[in-house]
Amino acid sequence: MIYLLVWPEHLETAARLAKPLFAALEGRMRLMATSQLAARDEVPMGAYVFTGVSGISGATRERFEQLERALDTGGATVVNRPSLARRPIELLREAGEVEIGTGTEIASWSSFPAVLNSHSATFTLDSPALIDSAQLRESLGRMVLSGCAPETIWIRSSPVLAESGHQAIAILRLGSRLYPAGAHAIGSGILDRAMSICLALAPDASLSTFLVGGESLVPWSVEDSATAALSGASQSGESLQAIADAWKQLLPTGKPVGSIRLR
Amino acid sequence: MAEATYLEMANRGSAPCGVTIFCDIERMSSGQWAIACRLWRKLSGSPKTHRLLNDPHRQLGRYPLLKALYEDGINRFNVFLPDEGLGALRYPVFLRIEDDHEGPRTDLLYDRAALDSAIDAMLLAGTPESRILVVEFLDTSEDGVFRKYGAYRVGDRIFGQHKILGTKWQLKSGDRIRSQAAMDENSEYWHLNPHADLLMPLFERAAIDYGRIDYAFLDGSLQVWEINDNPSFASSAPLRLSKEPKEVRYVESLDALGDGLVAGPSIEFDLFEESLIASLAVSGSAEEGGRKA
Repeated sequence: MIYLLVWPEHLETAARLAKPLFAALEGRMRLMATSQLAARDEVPMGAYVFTGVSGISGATRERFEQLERALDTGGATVVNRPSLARRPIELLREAGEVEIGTGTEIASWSSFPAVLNSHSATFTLDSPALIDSAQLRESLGRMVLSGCAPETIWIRSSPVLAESGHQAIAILRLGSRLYPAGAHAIGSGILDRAMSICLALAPDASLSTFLVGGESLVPWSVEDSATAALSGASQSGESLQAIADAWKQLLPTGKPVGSIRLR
Repeated sequence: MAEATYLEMANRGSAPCGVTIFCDIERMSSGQWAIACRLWRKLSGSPKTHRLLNDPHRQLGRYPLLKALYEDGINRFNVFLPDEGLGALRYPVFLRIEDDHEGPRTDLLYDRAALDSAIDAMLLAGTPESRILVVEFLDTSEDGVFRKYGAYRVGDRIFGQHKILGTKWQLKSGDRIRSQAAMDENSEYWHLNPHADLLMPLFERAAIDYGRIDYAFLDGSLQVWEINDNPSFASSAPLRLSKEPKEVRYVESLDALGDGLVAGPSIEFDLFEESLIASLAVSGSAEEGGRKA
């Protein structure tokens, strides 16, 4: 059994998105709210897919890492390991190709057009494209007043946005398999570059998006949320059965037996 | 009277003469708080034409207020953050969120194992540790009946709003005892407004000029549960049990806020000006810790 671990507040949305995939997996995947794990001394053997862990920090992160160790010790398959989780900004920085700033760097930002982003454990928000510092200040103020914590906000430039005719491509990653969508009109060199970035940086079950304009490739987002992993199946353009087969590869080999002690 | 969100105020860029009440300060993120402080400073230079209530610079949030009241010897229950070291706790305790008004998030927890498990569940549900509050339970019941009082401060006036009787410690109006005796106690409380002198220093301690205090008594000693700086107000809805014209006292108190003010021009401001970004960068780090402490 594959257990997709989701934040309690995302459970309902995930359940709705998961229906077709669950049907294709013939009952071999279930959703489990992360909070349910606190009340359990043990869980069944299986594959446990963490989602939405790229925004966790502090005590929450420590607790998820404890959980990961317990699952490892018990012999479960662990996907999207909390101990390896990094914020999208770190992944995008490592991917290069785009200029990114945080904190006081936002104050001196001069590379436009640009976009502000906010990412926390359960919440993501992007601004519209900003063309000057006045729009930047106003958009930043709006995001903060809308509830985004300043420390979760970053800015990145986008040379692609300055040109007309750019397009977005999405790549669903499930383990070592990649499923691009919307990539039919771009060169294979560009696609190869995007896919190698995904394999090098994206979590095992995630959805990455890129903007492409001419030969320019801008990594745009890396999402490990349950909704990204589940809606990625429909965005990828692959048949549902192919996606379901990729998920099955995550299952432990052999017949799953016994249970895993969490404490 | 008109309501506006902080974002709407920022978009308008002006405030007419009159009274501006800052609400929901205790629920603000560090960034929202930094912008609210900025708005306060923009509006505070014309006291003859613009009166301001609830200074975000000074107002105590739930945790610092309850901690202060315990340390002042007023409250007989203490509150803790999970990372504070919980060895000195007096059980039972319960958990709540530092910055919402949803009340207790757990049943009573009678030992450390139960507490750890409850904190664990909140962490695994994505609640940041800094928002979790551990509260010592205080049994204020008499003969099995809890009495919860609620009173408003609107500027210089304090008036009682409700006295709810019930048999559950998590006392909400839906659980109240609906006997005639209970209704009479509630009515007497509203008419006599007996605690105004006791309550004003508590509002002052919290630096809250507008809000509702929820409290009880233990052996004659007033115990503060919380002060809500954006409370709902009982209207004259037909389903209300109490027949007193409570809204009249509320409206009169709001009207009185404008006493002494003179007509004058609106204050124009730009909240999203140049220094905003630097201010937010600070609010996301050092100022937040300083504010919470």
